[in-house]
Amino acid sequence: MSAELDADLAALLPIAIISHAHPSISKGGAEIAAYTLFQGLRGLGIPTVFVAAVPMALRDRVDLRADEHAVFYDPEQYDYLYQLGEGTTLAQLRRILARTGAKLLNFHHFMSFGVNALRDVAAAADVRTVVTLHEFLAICHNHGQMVTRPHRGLCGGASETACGTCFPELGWRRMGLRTSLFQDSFAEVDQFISPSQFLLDRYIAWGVPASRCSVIENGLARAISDRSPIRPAAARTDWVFGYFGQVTPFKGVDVLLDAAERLAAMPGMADRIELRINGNIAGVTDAFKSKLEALTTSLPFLRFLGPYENGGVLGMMGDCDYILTPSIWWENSPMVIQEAYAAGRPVICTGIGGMAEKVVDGVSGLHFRRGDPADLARVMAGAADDAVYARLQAGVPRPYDTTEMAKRYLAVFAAAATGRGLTVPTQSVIQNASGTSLAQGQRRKRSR
Amino acid sequence: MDSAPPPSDRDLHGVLTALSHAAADLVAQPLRPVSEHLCGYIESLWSERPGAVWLTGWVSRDVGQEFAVVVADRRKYAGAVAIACYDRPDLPPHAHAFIGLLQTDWQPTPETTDVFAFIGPELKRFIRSVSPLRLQDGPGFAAEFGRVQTLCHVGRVNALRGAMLSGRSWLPDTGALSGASVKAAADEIMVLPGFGCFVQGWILSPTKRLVRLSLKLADRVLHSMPGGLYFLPRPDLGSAMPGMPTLLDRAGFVAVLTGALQPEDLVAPVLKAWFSDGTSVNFPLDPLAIRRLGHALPFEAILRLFPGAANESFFDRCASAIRHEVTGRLAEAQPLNRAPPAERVLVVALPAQASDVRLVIDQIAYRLGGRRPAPAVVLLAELGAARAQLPSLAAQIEAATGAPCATFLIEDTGRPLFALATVLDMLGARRFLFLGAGVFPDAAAWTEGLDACMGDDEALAVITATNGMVLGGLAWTTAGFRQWLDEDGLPIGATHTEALLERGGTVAGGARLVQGSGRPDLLIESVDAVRHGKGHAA
Repeated sequence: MSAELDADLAALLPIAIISHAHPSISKGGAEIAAYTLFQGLRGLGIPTVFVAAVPMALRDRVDLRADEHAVFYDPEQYDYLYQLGEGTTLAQLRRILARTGAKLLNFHHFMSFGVNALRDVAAAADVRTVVTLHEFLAICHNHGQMVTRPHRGLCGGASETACGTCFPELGWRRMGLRTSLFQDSFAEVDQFISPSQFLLDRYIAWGVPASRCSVIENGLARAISDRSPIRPAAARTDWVFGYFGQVTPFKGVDVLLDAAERLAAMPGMADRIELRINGNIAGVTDAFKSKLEALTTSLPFLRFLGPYENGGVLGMMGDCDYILTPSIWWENSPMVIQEAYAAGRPVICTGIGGMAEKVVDGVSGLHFRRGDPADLARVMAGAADDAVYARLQAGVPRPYDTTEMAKRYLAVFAAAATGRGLTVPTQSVIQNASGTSLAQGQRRKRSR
Repeated sequence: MDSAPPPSDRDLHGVLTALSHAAADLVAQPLRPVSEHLCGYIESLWSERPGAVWLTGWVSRDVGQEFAVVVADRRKYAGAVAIACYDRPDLPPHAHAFIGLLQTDWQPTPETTDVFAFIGPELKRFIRSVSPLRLQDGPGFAAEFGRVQTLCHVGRVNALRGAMLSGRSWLPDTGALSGASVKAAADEIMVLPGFGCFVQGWILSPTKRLVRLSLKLADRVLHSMPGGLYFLPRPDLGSAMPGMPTLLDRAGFVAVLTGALQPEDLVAPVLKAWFSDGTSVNFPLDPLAIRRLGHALPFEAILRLFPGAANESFFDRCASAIRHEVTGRLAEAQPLNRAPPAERVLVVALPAQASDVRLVIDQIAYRLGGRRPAPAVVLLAELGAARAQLPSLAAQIEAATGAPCATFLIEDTGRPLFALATVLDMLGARRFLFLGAGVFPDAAAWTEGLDACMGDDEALAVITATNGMVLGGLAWTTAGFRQWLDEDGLPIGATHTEALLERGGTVAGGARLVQGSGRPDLLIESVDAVRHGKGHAA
């Protein structure tokens, strides 16, 4: 396969997929996407190495396979405001890159390594760098969510003043400095890839040159050829709605619980539905835990099933009729939506951001108003209908697999390697955000 | 109306002075302590002050109550004694106990073991000290005086008490001894070495009018300035002296007291309240009320007590002391590691916030990493959290840049230019680029700043904030900087660095400043106004 590659790209091999975490340590969307790409590229015969940041304390737990490398760091020494890694992190990364000879670097997130590490390795004249954006961390210090503090409203755009209002303890000056640091570092990057147009649009509005940006959806590592069969209406005793993911404040599970109470109050509804919450609880208040516990006791149709193994998620989704994504933040390209599609299930989601982009309202799922449990209850009640379900089921798209994802990435890598433009068809999943040539706005290789 | 004439030691003082003069004529005579002439013993001493030693002991009843003496303690001293006597059951019938005052240049010391006092004019009879001799402190002696004064039936006990309560006395608590029903305390003693102090407190004196105050700190005595005392109502003290509403209207006081106060004097405060009848009473004050200005309190705390301080007659002296206090501390720089000589240096004051420090280090490493030749690096930090990180920060910079990195601890990274001068001298630097705390230049400013540091242009180049004309950094020669310091003198307030803005050219680009200059100390601004001949601030 590598023989078919553009000569400029071939000269940069192997490709280094650089992930802020290793899937054997954590199972976040970014590291899973990075690892999926690594496997896809290797499946195509492209020499590729995987470099993951691993907390020093977990070095015994990391499971490294062939061509996988770890950079160990101390989270206590990492700066979470400016996203600065230690000097030793950079040194380890440089050693690995020198040892493997990788010259085409694809960063999936810069966290754990630090934006300084990204900047410094990208500045080398013989290196080409592609950054895959996974959320808004460069734009927003609030966990990269673009949700305001302390009221959790949706943020329409970052600015020194607005960010300083969210973080009065840090002040607008630091917010401005943070932005300039990231923009300065990103100036070294050849190409940006986003799994969603929504995410990319936010970055372009923030300052990333549209001419260096592409959209490539994350692929799924597991087989997606066998969709779960639709449950026959005659055999269905009730409508099953499933939530899959971490139970955190940003994921909107509290909205889901409030909606459950409203559904319970709707005549006849409680007997027709089942609501399953799957996932581990993290970062929620004691009041939320108490409420979850009380409602699972008082509402017979509500079940909290706890953590689940990701390997079995498609089967668990297949046991549901709808998958729920009630996040109160924008989301980017939630893996759970791809998994739902892989399982052949429509999605009921908050009608904002990456969710609204991936779930077409009335086609592959249904939208409800952000943070509105009454509206969610209304939509769920309406979804419990054979005709509606059949229509949405038919509209569920087929997600990418590893091979498709890798092929589309290779096109961007080639553009980065040659510095030439990449013209993308309008309907292609690889989209140039501006619709113009990527030859514009080449990255700088600058002196300091 | 003031009360009846107070007990006074004026007459006694005159008598003792006359006897001392007479004793001076006797000092040359030979002294022979023949045992048959021993007529009593000195049992304890309290050296109140130079010239005044208080005694207890016993003597034969036929010795008078005021007499000239020659004190023999390795050498001879003229003196005069006044005693008041009382009966004590352990003594033989021909003797009685005494308590008294010895006026002399002799001073007992902890090493004093055997001292004789020959009684004039014959100088045959004598009293001597017991062994071991007990040296008392003021409060102990005053307590003993208080116990025995009512027993005295011979001698001038009232005059002796008057001497003990005189204005010269700094017994810490004379309220009980005087019999006066006066109470006082200080809420706050704001001290300023080199100037004096500002005291806020209260005094309840139902019979006498307070006219002035003195304060003793260690051995230093400060006095209230004329017009430097005013009164405030203190209704909260009603329970201490019920039924005296008029008294409470003026029970609070604020005073400015001046004197050559030194930093080592800030202990053992005793307040002396002077009344309109010439008497005084001493009060021990709580040492916890002492707050050093510029250390425990901002200088502008003075404005709470004297809102128009800048227009007060004491302000020039006060401003001078503040400036001396501030500049002395700001100029200190303590090297934390070995600081080798360096001709060209990049000096960076570290900000307070840990994230900012990390970014500073990152930027130094990034901007200097590929630069050859590069200046030596100097980090300035306060004795805060950054101190603990300094060695590793210096190591990170050395590893990333290959340049040596020296570290110094300074008083205030927000006002670093005084210390900068010290550091440049210590390193023998000829040229420098200095960046203030929390200053983050952009690429252009870094480049031009470093070029100026590594070049040969004698002119000052300043780095300003991107969002306004605020000084962020400067590149200059040490000689130029020194000359400017000597000629213009640095302000110590918020305009600390602004004076340089008009003096040099501005480099391209700019800098982001993550911290403002902070709220200025309003009094410091007035101090700078005095310094630069702008008169007192309004």
